[in-house]
Amino acid sequence: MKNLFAVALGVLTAIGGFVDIGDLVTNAVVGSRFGLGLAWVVLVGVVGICIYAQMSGRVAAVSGRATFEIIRERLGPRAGLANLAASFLINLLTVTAEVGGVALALQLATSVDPGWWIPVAAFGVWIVIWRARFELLENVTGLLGLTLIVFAVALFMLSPDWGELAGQALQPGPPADEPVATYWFYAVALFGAAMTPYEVFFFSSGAIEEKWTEKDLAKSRLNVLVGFPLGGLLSIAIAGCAAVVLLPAAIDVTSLSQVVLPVAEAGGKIALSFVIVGILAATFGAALETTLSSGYTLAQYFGWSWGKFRKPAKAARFHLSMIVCLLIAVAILATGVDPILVTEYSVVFSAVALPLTYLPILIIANDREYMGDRVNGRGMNFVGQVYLVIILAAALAAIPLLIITGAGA
Amino acid sequence: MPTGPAASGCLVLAAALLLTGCTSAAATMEQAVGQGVAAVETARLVVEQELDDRTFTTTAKTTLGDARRELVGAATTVSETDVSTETDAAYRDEVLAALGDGLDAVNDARAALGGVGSLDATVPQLEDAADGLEDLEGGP
Repeated sequence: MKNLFAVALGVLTAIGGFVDIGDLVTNAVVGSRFGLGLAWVVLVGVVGICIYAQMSGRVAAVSGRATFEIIRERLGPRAGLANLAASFLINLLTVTAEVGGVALALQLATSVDPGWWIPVAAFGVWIVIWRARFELLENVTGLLGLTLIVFAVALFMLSPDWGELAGQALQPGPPADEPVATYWFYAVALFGAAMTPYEVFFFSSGAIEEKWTEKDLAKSRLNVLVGFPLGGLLSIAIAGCAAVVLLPAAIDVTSLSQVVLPVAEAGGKIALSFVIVGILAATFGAALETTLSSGYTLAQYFGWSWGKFRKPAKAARFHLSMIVCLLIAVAILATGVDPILVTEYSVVFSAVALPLTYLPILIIANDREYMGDRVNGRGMNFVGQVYLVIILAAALAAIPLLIITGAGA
Repeated sequence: MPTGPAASGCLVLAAALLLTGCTSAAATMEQAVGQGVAAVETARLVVEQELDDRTFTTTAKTTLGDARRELVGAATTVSETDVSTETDAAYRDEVLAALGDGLDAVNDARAALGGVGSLDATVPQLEDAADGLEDLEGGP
């Protein structure tokens, strides 16, 4: 019974924790412009993140060390540094987007300018990281994030033409009034949002925080293989809501307030309450995860003492680096830059950094020295390599598409 | 002629810069019209939700603030666009006027949320503003 509860909790937090500001914004933008014409990208991205998240979780559980620690040892400091630079910078951009997302969610509830909420959000993230236990911060935000299921409920309440939505999803391609390059730009952005690098670092470091062993592999696999696909369905529901309400009204999404319009249209104030709580939990949870991931990547590369399981005084540089990251995020947002714009750029640059994050994981998951008999099988290697090709294509296409389309304008 | 990956990279970059740099005045203004339509339609939707008691006033206020920011951004883009033909110049004036109508309607709606004026009255105002902007879609 206790095990069943632990599995259910893990799956639920994986669903609730899957969606962050990048998924919210990108799916809504895509839904308002292409309907469900890019739903296939979410499916491709979810399969990819499932493959690599369970791979990095397995590395951590079997070796007893986080993926990033092994990357430096196995591939050497230079390759490790390239991996660190790419992952850390994207992470920092994502921390900024998530803190901005928390501020925007609070603005929806209060109409107070997000500029006032940004320091409050950053302080909240810091105090929770400083004080709360790892399991608590992961489970509470994940479970509250489940209220985002209201997007799926709203989609049903809107009574859409299911045939039309299915038609959009099954016959993908740009609408007549959208350039092909823009379609592919958003495909790359959506892929980057689904496969954000911090998710694997957090997953792998979380395995160490929670002291996983080989016995926990089945549970972690279930969390990933059930939780993430259901989280992906939630992403498609966000796009679906935008496709039903915003697309016919020619409303291209440029702000978080537009993302919640279809939910209010479908379910009024009650649904709106749920979605605001869900967005707040999702962005706050992701802000915690990305801030922790920043600390994890730096500490694991430089060999500092790290982990929430240690008292802050025993992992001083780990905690200090996270404080600095939060201060940088606040400084970036204090320039007045639109957090939604930061989000859009963060998912595109995520796509650029993907190969540097995922290739080392594949290499280590094949190393018998660390993995023993738990190395990847042939099937897993084949799928992993197919995904590396997709990841590489997305990474190479991201910047040219960004320039050619004027960031999808 | 230089060859190799570096030269290829430069060519791709040059082509991309050429493509993005060559956006015509009409295309820029058309894009601003689309931005304006989206903002006014957003405002109309949230005002209707407020009238039906389907949204919180704080959320409606935030949404209208975002719509206003979009309209101001679109109007700034258009007013800073250099035109080289009489047709484009006339189109720019029409677009600026239509965006101004949209901005007035959104401002009135936001004021009505604060108790100044009637929110009901802003619905037709927003509809007219949206129609005016939609008429300008498709360019000069």
